[in-house]
Amino acid sequence: MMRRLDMIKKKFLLFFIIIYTSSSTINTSLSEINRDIINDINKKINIAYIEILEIESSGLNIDNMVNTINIINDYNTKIQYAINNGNTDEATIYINEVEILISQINNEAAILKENILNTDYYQKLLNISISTTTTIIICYLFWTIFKIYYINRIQNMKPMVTTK
Amino acid sequence: MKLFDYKLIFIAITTLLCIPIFIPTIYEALPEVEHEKFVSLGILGKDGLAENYYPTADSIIYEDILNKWHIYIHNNFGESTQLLLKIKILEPNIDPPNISTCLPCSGFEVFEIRRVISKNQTITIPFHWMITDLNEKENSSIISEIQINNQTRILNISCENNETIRVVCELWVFDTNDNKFHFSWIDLEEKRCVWTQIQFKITSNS
Repeated sequence: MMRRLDMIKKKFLLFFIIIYTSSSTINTSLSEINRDIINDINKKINIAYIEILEIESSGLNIDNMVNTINIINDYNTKIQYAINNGNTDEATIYINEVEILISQINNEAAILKENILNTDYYQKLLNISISTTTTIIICYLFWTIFKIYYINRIQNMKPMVTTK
Repeated sequence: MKLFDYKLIFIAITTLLCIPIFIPTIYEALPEVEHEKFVSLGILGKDGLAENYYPTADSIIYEDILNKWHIYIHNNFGESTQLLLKIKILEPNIDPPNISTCLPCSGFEVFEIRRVISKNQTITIPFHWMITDLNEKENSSIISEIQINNQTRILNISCENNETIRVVCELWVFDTNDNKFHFSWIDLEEKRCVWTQIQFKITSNS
């Protein structure tokens, strides 16, 4: 009888350990997944921010991108809150929204970057050509005026023909 | 004097005339002048002014009464900056952030939000909060639950009667070198950080 009781006790203990271990593993893996999701979103936001900085340094307007990234930041806060409260459906909706908005920023950044390359090159070319042309025109005008002035001066210096 | 004897005067005058034309190109080539980088941080009251923080004239926060505060941030970093606002509640025995060593405090973090702020832009972030669960005992009080911007936070902050609790706002700046937020930044070879706080007492009697 005692042996049987011992066996039942051992089996119960084993069962309890298995249940406890599996539940804690599920909890850990769930929290790890949640942490990964949040880290992944944060990384994407950081990449989008660096893109914005690059475009800003080229002097282009970034207001629209800044507004979008701040909307993403608001969603990020909501995602964290939803995940912490176990509201996965709500979190999934926000995550999808974030994905769309991040791709919007990346697309806008790609278009603007292409424009930067073209604009930057043509701007420099335009600056140099305008400066050079203006310099040549000024030099030519100045030289012509100076020549006219000099010729007139030389002519004025010629001896006058006297009449009897 | 012959025409070519005026060559030197001609070159000098032409150079002087051409300098203004090349100014935009020269300006682009010059390095940018370094200026002081800083962020302004402040807590504003109900009407977006530095007043009316508490429901009554005394600095007491009551249970179940909404406190409408606003966090004011101005970016003077000279470029768009990504900032992380952390709001912490500190028990009376916990030290606030250290301004000289720029070490953040170890309080109970209740609110966190990221913001990208454009160059010279000022923003205000609403911070509407109230204590929703306050357990008062003979000599002490415990805050078990608060609500911030309609989101509930479970916490455990205790203080003895007549002791003050602080709400501390810390601004963390994103560093593009290591892609992490830091509580401090280096400006003109000096470590800088920014934080602010509000102190109050708590009670459930309104």
